[in-house]
Amino acid sequence: MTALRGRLAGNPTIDQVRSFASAHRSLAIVAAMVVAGLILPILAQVPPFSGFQSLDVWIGGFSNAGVFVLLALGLNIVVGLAGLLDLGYAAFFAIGAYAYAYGSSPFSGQHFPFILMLMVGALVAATFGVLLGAPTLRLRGDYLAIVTLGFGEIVPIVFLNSDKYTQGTNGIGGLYKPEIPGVEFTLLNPWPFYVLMLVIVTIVMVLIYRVQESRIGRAWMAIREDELAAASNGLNTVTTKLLAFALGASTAGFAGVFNAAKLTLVSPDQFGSTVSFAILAMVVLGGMGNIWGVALGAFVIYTIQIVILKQLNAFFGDNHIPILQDINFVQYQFLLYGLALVLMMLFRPEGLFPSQRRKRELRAHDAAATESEAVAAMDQA
Amino acid sequence: MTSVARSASPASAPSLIRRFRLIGFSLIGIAVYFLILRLMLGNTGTATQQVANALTLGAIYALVALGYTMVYGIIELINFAHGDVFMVGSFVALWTVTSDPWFQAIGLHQTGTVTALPLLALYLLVMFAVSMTVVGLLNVTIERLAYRPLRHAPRVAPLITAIGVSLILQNVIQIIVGTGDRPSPKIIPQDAFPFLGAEIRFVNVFIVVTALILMYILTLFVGRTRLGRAMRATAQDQQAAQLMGVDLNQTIAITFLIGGALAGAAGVFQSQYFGFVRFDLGFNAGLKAFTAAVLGGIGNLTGAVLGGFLIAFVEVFAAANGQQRWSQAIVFVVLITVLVFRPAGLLGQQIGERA
Amino acid sequence: MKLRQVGAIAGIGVLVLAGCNQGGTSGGGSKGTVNIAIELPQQGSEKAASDPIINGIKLAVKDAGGVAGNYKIEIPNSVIYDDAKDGAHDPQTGAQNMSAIAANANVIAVIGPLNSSVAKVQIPISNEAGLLQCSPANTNEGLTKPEFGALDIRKANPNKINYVRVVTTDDNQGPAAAKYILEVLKKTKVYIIDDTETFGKGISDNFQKYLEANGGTVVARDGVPKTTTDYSAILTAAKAKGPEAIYFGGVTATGGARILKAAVAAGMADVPYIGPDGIYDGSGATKDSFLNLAGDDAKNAFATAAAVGDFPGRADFEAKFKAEYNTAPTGYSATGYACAQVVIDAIKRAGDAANMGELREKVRAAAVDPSINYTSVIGAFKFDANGDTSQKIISFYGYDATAKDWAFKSQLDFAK
Repeated sequence: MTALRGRLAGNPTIDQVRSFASAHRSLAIVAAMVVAGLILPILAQVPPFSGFQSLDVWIGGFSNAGVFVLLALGLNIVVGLAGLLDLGYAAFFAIGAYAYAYGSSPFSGQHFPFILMLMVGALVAATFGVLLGAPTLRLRGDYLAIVTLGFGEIVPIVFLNSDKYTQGTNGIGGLYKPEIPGVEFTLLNPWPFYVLMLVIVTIVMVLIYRVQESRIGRAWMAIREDELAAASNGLNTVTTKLLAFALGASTAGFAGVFNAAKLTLVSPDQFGSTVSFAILAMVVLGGMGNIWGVALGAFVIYTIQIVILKQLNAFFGDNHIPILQDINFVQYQFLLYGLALVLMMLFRPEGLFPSQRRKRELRAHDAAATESEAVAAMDQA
Repeated sequence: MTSVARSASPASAPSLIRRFRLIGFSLIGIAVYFLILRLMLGNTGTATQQVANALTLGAIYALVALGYTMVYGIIELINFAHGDVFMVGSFVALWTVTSDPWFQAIGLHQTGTVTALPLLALYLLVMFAVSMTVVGLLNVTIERLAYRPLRHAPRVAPLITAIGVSLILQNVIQIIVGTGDRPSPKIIPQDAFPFLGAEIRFVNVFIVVTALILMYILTLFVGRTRLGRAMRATAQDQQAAQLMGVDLNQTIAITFLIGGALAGAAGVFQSQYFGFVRFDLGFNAGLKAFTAAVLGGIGNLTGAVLGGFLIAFVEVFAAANGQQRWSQAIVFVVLITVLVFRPAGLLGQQIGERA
Repeated sequence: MKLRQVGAIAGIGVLVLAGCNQGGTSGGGSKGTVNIAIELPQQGSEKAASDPIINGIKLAVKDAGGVAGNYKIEIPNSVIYDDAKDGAHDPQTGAQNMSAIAANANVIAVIGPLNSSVAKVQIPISNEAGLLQCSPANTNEGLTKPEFGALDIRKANPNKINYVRVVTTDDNQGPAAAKYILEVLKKTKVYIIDDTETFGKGISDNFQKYLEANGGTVVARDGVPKTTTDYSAILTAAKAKGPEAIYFGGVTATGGARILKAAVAAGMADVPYIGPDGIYDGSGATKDSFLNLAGDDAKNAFATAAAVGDFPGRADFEAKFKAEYNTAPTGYSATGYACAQVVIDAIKRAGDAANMGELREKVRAAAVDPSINYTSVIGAFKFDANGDTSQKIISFYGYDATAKDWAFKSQLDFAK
């Protein structure tokens, strides 16, 4: 990767593009998303992908993947940028989704417009983020992780048991589809959802990038690297961390509202701890701290899980390849996740598409290791 | 990276007075719990039975919590995979009693209860020995492969690795045995004896007594032996301990070995008390045991035991009052409340930040 | 606007093209080949429930000679969809699959899903597409009955129903168990324990309503999620209330057998234990079935099944199934077979059509026609205006210790 970059660096046009992109990062993001949005449908029609499933199904899958991209981006703010380990992120996803159910369903009798509900869902989720964060953010990292895990468990249980308000395990169905003037959203046409998802992801990405480069982003970085030093420099660590939580939660709120509108149903079993861990895996594998890395990681992992593994099964089965045909890849997927997580942390903790800063941070432990080994060596001598 | 000093010393050798105080308080606590239940339920027999249920469950949680707290105390890692090694232990116990080739060779594999006491003792001994050894060694291996290389990495790295290991363990077992329950023969006779209006089964007594014995042995080990002292020293200050001649790697390995062995013992209890094992037991059990460890004061052995029993008491209380479906949420609320108002836990000392 | 037009044109184009391609393909069906899609969870413990259904469906197609009317029927692997994600059924994946099925120009109808929660997200899609969907297993009443909110999920075409099912609903099965307890077992005090999931809780609610309305009392009710391991506390509490029967709402995978064993261990071995068709899943020899896990503790266990237990032709069906697949059929294999029979019959009656879109509509209308009498391996039935079967028969089974299997006890017809 670096070699390629080195070779490309010499090229004047590439240099121009890169410097322009660095200077106008938001525009670059928008442009890149537009390009991606155009390329994906084309890619989906190229063999072998075209053989896996039809174009419509691919586009629908992209929209669903987009939900996970949003979730990964949001968790990235909390874990990657601010360095707070959140193991119950799906709770905010659930809150956003149920907020939409209350705002736009026959059950609640309300029918607020989708765009408004996007904001409302994000706001409600952010509020819960602050409510959770306020008492707990002063805890040490590991404790915070467990508290968030607990929160992630409590929220679906509350939704499940509060029959009167949430219809419990049956969930709230018949949610209204989005209405945007001029576009008709049907359940059979995946394109409006696809474009809507692209727009939402682009906006969120630009927002996150902006925040990352602002004072708040630098404050997060400071806290992540050395919280004590940051506090000693006058940084209000609690507010800064709360902001990370709130922003992360609101992104999950967006994702929740979109998902609810697309699925037309919310039910507690959609938001279990498996979802939280899956998103965490996406963030870790994609590259904590790197917006594009995380987005790409989420997209790739989701596609692998939903499409590729089944295709591998079908491929090996149909062609009767000796040992591989007996392996049910779908059944093994968690084994692969686990292995990927462990191997990643051991050999490439900065993720597949790392941010340079994170890489330096995570590799810094090598220096510390040598120090400790020296101490141990002294003892042996 | 800031390092945090801890002035808590995990289980220094309790003086006689402290020990009596501990036992005294425990008995008082149990009595209070019993009285509350008796008042709420109006029936002595039921209350006694629920206390027995709570004590048994608590013993199991306590053993698993000890493993968590020991590992955290020594390397400040929440070992997410600990619940899953407990699960592996329960499968090992199941396998020992149903398919162990040595047993089969002498025609002894079991599918029901064993009434002959010497034979029962033999079986149980073998189950404990095998399960504790296997899980202990498994834990050491995991530490060696997945955690040791990351000893100096930012805290988030070994946490994620632990999650990865947890997924691997669950999935491997799932692939081998499938997703359903695997019933386990209960070899301890299910006879019960009357006590205060309830029928207390021998298996309940067995579990509580055995767990207490194991905990006592652990206390002796940590308090009196050289290795135990090394563990305590490392938990207090890793570098200073190394300077004093403690072999860090060996100490950590021993800690994992013991923690794993305790989880293995808990696994035997799981198969004998509940009568079934399943690949996803580990997640929930691990979460509750970890809550117990935190509740009691992480790094503090007595705290872990106390926390284990407390969590079980809370659960049984909720269940006895018809709130079973909320019990998991209640446990977490307890956890969050404790962490917010007293992060050091009930028995932990206040921790301070040191530059 | 543009997107919609593009999408609609693309959709219609695909269907028309497919219609054009129908003619000229080989085989006995002179008008071409159509596919019946299957949509079931095929991971984890649900795979064991789904595989017999798939086998039942394929057997039905084989028995019909692979032909219906003028069309050849095929079920290639590409139209067998799996709605499981992370080891269990996932509504989002189910929705995704249904979109794919609806967009597949070769698919004439779909059989599935297994879980009511997945059906809830699929029906809006298949209803909008006007695609016939037959479920061999969904029992939640909210999927079809307007008084339970079913109109909300068929918003696109509320009067052109497309979803039918060959099993009767929980609001029959739950009350049936209550009736059995009150009238046959002659007990009135019941302890209910449900698994907090859609099926288990729903059926327990229905059970409770009927029981309390007919002179029974619920001494206690607990909801225990499937991750629970320790039932001793709630069973001790329940035992103290003196229940004369225990009703379990749920399936084996969420704890049916475990709870029975725990109840026996808690001293309630003589209390009858009744469950719905979630525990009626095979004999003691079938791996992971309720009886297999419960062993001899099941001596007082009873189960209800939301379909005909004793029907003419049942022995034949079992023999055929065994001959084809070397294993005994489960309850759902028969309903899967019946769904396939419905689809095949509808295709026959639909006649010819110019393109796939038209054919689908004809098949749908033919299938849901309330005047049609179906004769299937599970007996004779009709569909009502909501797509529910007229066969509101609940069968009761008790444990036979010698055969280590469920033994048919009696049947109750709720239609009467």
